Order: sequence, then C-alpha cells, then structure tokens
Amino acid sequence: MSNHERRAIDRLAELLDHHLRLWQAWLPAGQVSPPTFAELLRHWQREQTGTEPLPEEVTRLLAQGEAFVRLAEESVRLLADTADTPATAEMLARLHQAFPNPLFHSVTAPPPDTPDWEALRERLPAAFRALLPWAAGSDWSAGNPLQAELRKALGIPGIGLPAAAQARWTEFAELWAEHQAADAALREHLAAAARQALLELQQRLEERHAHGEPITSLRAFYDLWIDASERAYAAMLRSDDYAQAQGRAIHAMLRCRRQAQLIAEDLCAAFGLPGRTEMDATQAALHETRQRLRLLETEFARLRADGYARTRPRTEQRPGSAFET
Amino acid sequence: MPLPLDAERILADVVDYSRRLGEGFTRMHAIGQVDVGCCPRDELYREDRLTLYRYRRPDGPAGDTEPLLIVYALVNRPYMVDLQPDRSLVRQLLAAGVDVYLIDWGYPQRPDRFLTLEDYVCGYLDRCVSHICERIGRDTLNLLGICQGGVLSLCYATLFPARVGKLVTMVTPVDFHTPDNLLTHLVRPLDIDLLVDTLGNVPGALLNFMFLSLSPFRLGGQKYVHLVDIAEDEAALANFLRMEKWIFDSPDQAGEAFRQFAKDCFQGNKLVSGELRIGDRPVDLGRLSMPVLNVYATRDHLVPPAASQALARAYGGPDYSEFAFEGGHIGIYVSARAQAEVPQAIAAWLRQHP
Repeated sequence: MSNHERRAIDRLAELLDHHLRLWQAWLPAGQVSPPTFAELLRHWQREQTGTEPLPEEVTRLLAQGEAFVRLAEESVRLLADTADTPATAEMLARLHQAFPNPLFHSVTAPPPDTPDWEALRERLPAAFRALLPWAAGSDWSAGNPLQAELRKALGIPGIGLPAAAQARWTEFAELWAEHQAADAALREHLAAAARQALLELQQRLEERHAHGEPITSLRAFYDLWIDASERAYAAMLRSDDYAQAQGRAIHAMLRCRRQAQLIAEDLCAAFGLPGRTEMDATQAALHETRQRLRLLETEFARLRADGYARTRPRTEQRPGSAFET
Repeated sequence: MPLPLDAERILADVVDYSRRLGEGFTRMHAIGQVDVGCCPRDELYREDRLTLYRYRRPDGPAGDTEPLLIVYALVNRPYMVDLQPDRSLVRQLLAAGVDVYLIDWGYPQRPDRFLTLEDYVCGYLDRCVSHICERIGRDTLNLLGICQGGVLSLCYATLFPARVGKLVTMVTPVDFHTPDNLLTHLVRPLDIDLLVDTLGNVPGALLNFMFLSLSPFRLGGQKYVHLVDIAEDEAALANFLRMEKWIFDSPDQAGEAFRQFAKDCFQGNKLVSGELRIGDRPVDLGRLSMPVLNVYATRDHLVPPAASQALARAYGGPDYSEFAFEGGHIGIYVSARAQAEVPQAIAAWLRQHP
C-alpha cells in the first residue's frame, strides 16, 4: 500500500473515531441526531478523489456499502428509541420504512443527482399531492373514469400543428399513459415481493429464536434479509402474472420509444436530415452488398484454387482447400 | 419476540465496516483498470468486427490433438475463458497439449443490425474454420461451443459435418422449454419483433440487466456488501474487478440474429424439435454423427442441466458423452475446481477420440 493510500485510510479512521464519539454521546440523550456514517463516507471519498467520476464498479461498491451503513444507522436509532430490546416486528417496520423496495436498492444504485422526491412532493399543491397515490400507486388503466375523460381530451383536434403530427403526439400521450400504468402494475408486483420478503424474514428470525440461535449481528440480519428477499423475488419471477406484467411494461416502454422515434423522424424530415427509416434502408442495402461480396470472394478463391490445382503436380496440392464447397 | 441486538455493538460494527469499505475503495481506486487475458496469442484473421486468434503454446511438447476452435457466445466477451493465469480454461487446455483457437465476435455496431444467424454460422464461423483448415492443411477441426456459442456450433456441425471432427458443447441450451428455465419463462411473453424493430441492435446493457435481475439481491447488493471482507487482499480485489469487468462488458446484439435466436430458440424451442432453419437449411441435430462431449454445470441458473442434457436425446450419432461439473454457469470457467477438472476432461476426451 502506498503512503498516499495509507494516509487516506488513516484519515478515514480518524473521521470514524470522531463520528463514533458523536453517536455514543447521542445514544443516551437521543436529542439531536448526529450526522450519518453514509454522509461521512461520501465526505471522505470526495476528500480523496475530488469530483472526478468514479469507475462504475467502485460506485457500486460505495452505493451498496452505504445502503448497509444506512441499515445500521436505522437499527441504532431504533435501539435508542426503545427502552428495552426491540421487537422484531418493530425492527422490520423500520427496515421496510428505510428500504420500501429493496429490489431498487439492489439492482440500481441511485444516480448521484437524484432529486429529493419527498421534498418535491411536499412542495406540490395539496390537490396535486392527493392525486399522486392514484397516479403512481395502482394500475389505473382498467375502468378508471378519469382516464376515460383524459382520453377524450387527448382526442381533441390539434391547433396549429398538422393533423398527422398532432395524431402522432396524441398517440404518444396515450402510449405514455399506458407506460405509466404498466410501470405502476409492475411496481406493485415488486412491492408485494418486498412485503413477502419481510414476512419470510420475520418467520426465519422466529425459527432461529425458537431454536436458541438468535441473530446477534447486523451483518447476519442483513444476510438473512437478502436470503428472504431472493426467495420471495424468485417466487414472484416464476409466476405467470409477473412475466405478463413485465412483458406489458417492456412493450409499453418500447411503444413509447418507437413513437418518439417517429416524431423525431418527422422533425428530421422537416430539416432534410436522414431519419431512422432511411438509415435502416441504407444499412440493409449495405448488408446485402456485403453478403454478395463475400460470395464473390469465395467463388473467386475457389476458382483460383482450382486453377492452381490444375497447373501444379498433384503431389503439391494441399489437402482441405480453404474454400472448397 | 425481541431482537437481541445491541446499539453499542452495531456502532462498533458500522465503524469497522466503514473503515474496511474505505480500504476497499482506496485499493480498488488504486488498482484502476485491470488487465484481462493472460495467454499470448496471435491474430490470424479479421473480418468486420470479428477477430480469429490462435493461442501460443507454452514451452513443452507439442500437442497431439487436432486444433480446437472455441466458439463463444455473442452475448458476453470471450476473455472469460482466459481471465487471468489461475483462471484460464485456455491456459489449461494449452498445458494439456491442445492447439487452441478462439473467435472474438467483437462489438456489433449499428450497421451490423441486419446480421442474421446465417451470417454468423454459414458466414463468419465457416470462414474461420476454412481459414484454420487451410492454414494447417487439414480438412477438419474440433469445435468447443460455449453457451450460445454452443448453439452456433451445433448448427454449424449439423450444416457442415465434414468440417467438424469432434464437437464439445459447454453449458449449451438445447431444450429451451424445460420447466426450470427462468429466462425462457420471462422471454416468452415478449414481442420480440417489437423489441428488435424498435431498438435495432439489442443493447447489451439490457440483456445484462435481465441476467442480473434473476438474482438481484445477491448479485446487485450482497456481493458488494461482502466485498469488504477482501478489502485488504489486493489480489482478491483485482480478481473481483476482472469479474466485474466481464459481467458488465456486454456487447450489443445484432438485431436480426437476436430476433431469430429469441423467437426460434427461446420462444419456439425449434433447436430441439428440429424445426430450426439457418437461412433456408434445416438444422436437424439427429444428423450429427461426429463424437460429441456435452459439458454442463449442475447448478447452472441460466442454462439448467436439463436444458443441456436434452442433446443426448436429439443427437443422432453413435458417440455421445457427458461431463457434469458441480458448479454454476460462471464457476465452470473460473472456479478453482473447474480449473482442475473441466479442461482436463475436455483434453482427455479429445485424446480418447483420435
């Protein structure tokens, strides 16, 4: 390890010592919450590397490490809040609160500039806020009167745009609505699997407790949670309902994208630029030309080899001509 | 039921964990980019994105087997078979006296979206085989097809039987509709035409996401949380980084080839039923007559053993063998046990079938 690396790690140890003292001081009093370990790690990391972008694998390590640290912090807060040993159900409720859908934490690290959605939501007018659960929380495509009204509105002829362009945008709006609905339906599956995972986790904790093998470290608790999540998620994956929901979501996304491409093509055409369709046609022709060239090359090589074989004594003929057919 | 967790202990654990996370971060950052591929090799042939390599033999007696051409899958990069010195199928095969060639399919670009399976099998693969045969003055060579590359090899061996002396398939799906095939279960409801018509080439990142999402908590979360356990071991971290590089290094898939593979194999299961066609030629596995060794992994979550073992029923020739490796789809290339078992089994089988 280089001196620079050693200094970086010593600096982290120093920060962690200080941080630990803050948390230890906070524990008995429980008043003002100390800064989080995740923030400390991020602060230290920026001290070391500045704002240069990190390699993806390092980003993934940090994201998941921070998730684990957040779990630890949540646990400590819970233990500080409860006078006695916390009940499992309460611990799980905190876990669920901290990680409402563990899949998203596992599969994708949040981008660095993810907006604070919660804060944004709070700044919305009350009427808008009231609509959010409806918009994001359930599959609203089936028999929703508001959607029917929306569809009527989308059917109003456009003003100022050519009819064809207006039709493309109208269709895009409808496809986008379906995308939102399909996405919400898929998320309901994921959320149900997350809830099932917590139930399985509770069951396993109880089994271990009954067998006199209680969980005593947070790492073991985390591993048990991962196992439970994998089992619940695997069961969901194997269900036909989920496969259909996933298919619907993917199709909806693709249809949006295809429609956006058509709109972009219209725009390109307006400026005399080649669009996707034109490029595809060109590339298809290029591909066909390549294939024909290969055939000609092969035939040429065969003819040349034949000519070579005819003009040479048979003993010099090499077996297995490359282009024999 | 109470949870016997202690705040002070968790605090101590989180401090220790954070320290080790910092160490891991520092070392990984210092390691930077990792190299992959350890065996020296020579480029023999290049066409479009494809490159054909021949690996140099280590010092020692010349091998007594025919050349073996490794045909890797299109969906990942082939350096997995030569990741690092102690995790190299190629190295072990060379040490066992096998003359090893490998096709690197490269990264398809936008103009490659119209490449079909026929282009891959009857075009690229056939021209590689021809190039090698002409170079060494033989009529045939042996093929080692890995995963999807095994499907391509099966197609090739069926269509060009005079070119293939012996065929080894490794973690190769043949029956795509076995009940435990999770990928098929998820792919079957998809409108593949919509996918390809919309995207053109299918992004490798999309396929990679699909593979990882089969076990997202372990592969996307726990693996990184546990990484702190090797934070002090620079060699182990470098190994980890090489695997990470491979996992996320997924080429885009040529649209038309993907369309046919997904529709005919995953959805139609035509390879095992004999209905698959490459161009206008049927692929009938029952016509295979050369010796075949089928290597599969008993805990393969991507290609379940039954999906590979179906080759035994479809194969029409007299000389079929299986080798079952106790491990998973990735472990069969890189685990310590695989290094000690798989290449040796392949080399021994090749020797036993002169």
